[in-house]
Amino acid sequence: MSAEPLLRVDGLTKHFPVRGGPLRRVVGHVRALDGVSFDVAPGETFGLAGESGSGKSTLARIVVGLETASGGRVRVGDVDDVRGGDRRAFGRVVQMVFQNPGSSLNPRRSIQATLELPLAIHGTFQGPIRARAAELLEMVELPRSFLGKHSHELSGGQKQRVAIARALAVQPQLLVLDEPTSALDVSVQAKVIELLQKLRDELSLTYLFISHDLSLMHAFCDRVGVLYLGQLAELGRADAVFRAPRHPYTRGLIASVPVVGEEEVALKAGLERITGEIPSAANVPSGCRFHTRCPAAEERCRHEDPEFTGDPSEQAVRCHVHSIV
Amino acid sequence: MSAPALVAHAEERAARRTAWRRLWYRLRRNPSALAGSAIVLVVVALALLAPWVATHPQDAGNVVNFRARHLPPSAEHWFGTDQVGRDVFSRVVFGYRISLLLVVGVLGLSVPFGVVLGLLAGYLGGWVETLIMRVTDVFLAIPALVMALAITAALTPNLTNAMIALAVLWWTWHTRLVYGIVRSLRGEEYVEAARLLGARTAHVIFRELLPNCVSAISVKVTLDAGFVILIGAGLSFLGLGAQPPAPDLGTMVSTGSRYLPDMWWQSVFPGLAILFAILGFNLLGDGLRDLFDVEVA
Repeated sequence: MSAEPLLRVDGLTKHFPVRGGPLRRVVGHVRALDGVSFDVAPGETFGLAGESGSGKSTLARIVVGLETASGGRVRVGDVDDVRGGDRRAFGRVVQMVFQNPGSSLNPRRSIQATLELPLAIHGTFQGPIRARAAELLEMVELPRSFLGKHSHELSGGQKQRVAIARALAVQPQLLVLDEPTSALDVSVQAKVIELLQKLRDELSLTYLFISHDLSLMHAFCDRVGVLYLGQLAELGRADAVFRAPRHPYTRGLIASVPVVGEEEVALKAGLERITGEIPSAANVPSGCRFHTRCPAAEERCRHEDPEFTGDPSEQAVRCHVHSIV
Repeated sequence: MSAPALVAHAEERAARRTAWRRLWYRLRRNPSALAGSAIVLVVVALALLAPWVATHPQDAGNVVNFRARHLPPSAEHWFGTDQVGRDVFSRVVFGYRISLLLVVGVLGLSVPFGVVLGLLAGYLGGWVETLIMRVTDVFLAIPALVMALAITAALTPNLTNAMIALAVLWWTWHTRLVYGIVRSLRGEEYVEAARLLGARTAHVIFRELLPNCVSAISVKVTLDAGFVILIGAGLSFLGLGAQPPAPDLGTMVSTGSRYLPDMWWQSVFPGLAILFAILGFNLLGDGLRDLFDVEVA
């Protein structure tokens, strides 16, 4: 990658202590994230895929500063560490759209109050704030009459549009989308994705898109990373990863995509499904973390943790068997 | 105003009208809320309009009319007269003033204090939470009436001290209530979104969280009003509340009980007046609880 990355995640680790016993002593750690590294270039849409429990939401929360990392670094724009820094200035670089439209808007506050909050706090917008709030609504293709409404009068898709407008009110460069459409009907989902694509082009936004929906990711993202038990299993251009997945986990995930069209059928040809449940992050398997479920596992996979091979801007994989030489 | 802005304004007004109409519709279908609000309205109106409603307003004070003492209820004295010839009905009406004054005083002092502590403990967590909630637990362990007895006995027994004595304990219930709500709301995404946008803690607490506690608090306050009246009457029955000759309902029951059963009206009517007011606040509180659909311990 030639340009300076907008988001650089370097060896990111997050361990949650597990307490037990009568004295509530730390008896172990949940390793939600264990050395995750990737870059996102300005204007790029980076997708992060994984099952629930893989750590993808934790990563999103660390990137925006809602949680602190146990180790490693996250650099957004030219801010190295949110703590101790200017929370508001940081907010003008990165914002987040949450997963659950039902709880992302305050039921007691009008849409107008919701949208005017960021404008009032940051004071970056010169001119009447109410007019700007109406403009933001138009940007997400909602009528300005919605200003007077409350969240219970809105559908899930409309709420999510308001949440996008609120995030964009401070004109951030990076938008973290934590499963923004997973709670929506499929038809509504498509419209929200279309809107996100339009906004990306018009405002030259950078997205960190977190989802478990691989077909959506294939269509929406430039590059993707596949997260398994707090580590990246595979990383690369969306097209390369989906056309020719190398890691058995990626292959298994793609094999599990419910088939709708010919495109998915083609993607799934010759891939074997994975079985079983994701192991607990409190008790991570030795060696390669995937060996307990891997159809191609060999003896060394049990003991040796594989290294990444390949070029992350094209395709890189963390697997002994399917390494890129 | 521009045309679209006018349209938006009109729509907003229409929406607000619909909301009121919906509230009125649900209120109509909720007989206990309706009965409760009617009773509370009557009690408040009697208290406010006491000098005009009372048939013998001068009897509220230190008046003695021995010629008219111990008269049974009649057209002239609806609830009869007391041991110094004062009109019991007029004194009951003025008695509501004292009861409601106590309610406003106790809740006005304790509720804002308790609510703010609950908001802080629930949102900030950590040592602030531990400190506030442990102190709350200690205060909760003291029975309200016992504490009030101790304080009013140590200080001069009068209405103001009764008010202070009750307020000193009353805030704990609101702290607990609000703390519970805020704990469950703290992780809501709109709270996190506000933080990401750089909102100050004061904004999150008072503009995002507090509005979501208001319905539960108002139910609790309504139910509390009945309890405050009851405990206040209990204190003055024991001679620790408002002092004679102030027309206090509890004092009237206490004094009147000396002339039971022959002059029953001197204690029964003030007692019924206490019952009526408490019934009203409790019915209204229960009705509001259904209406707002909130859990209040």
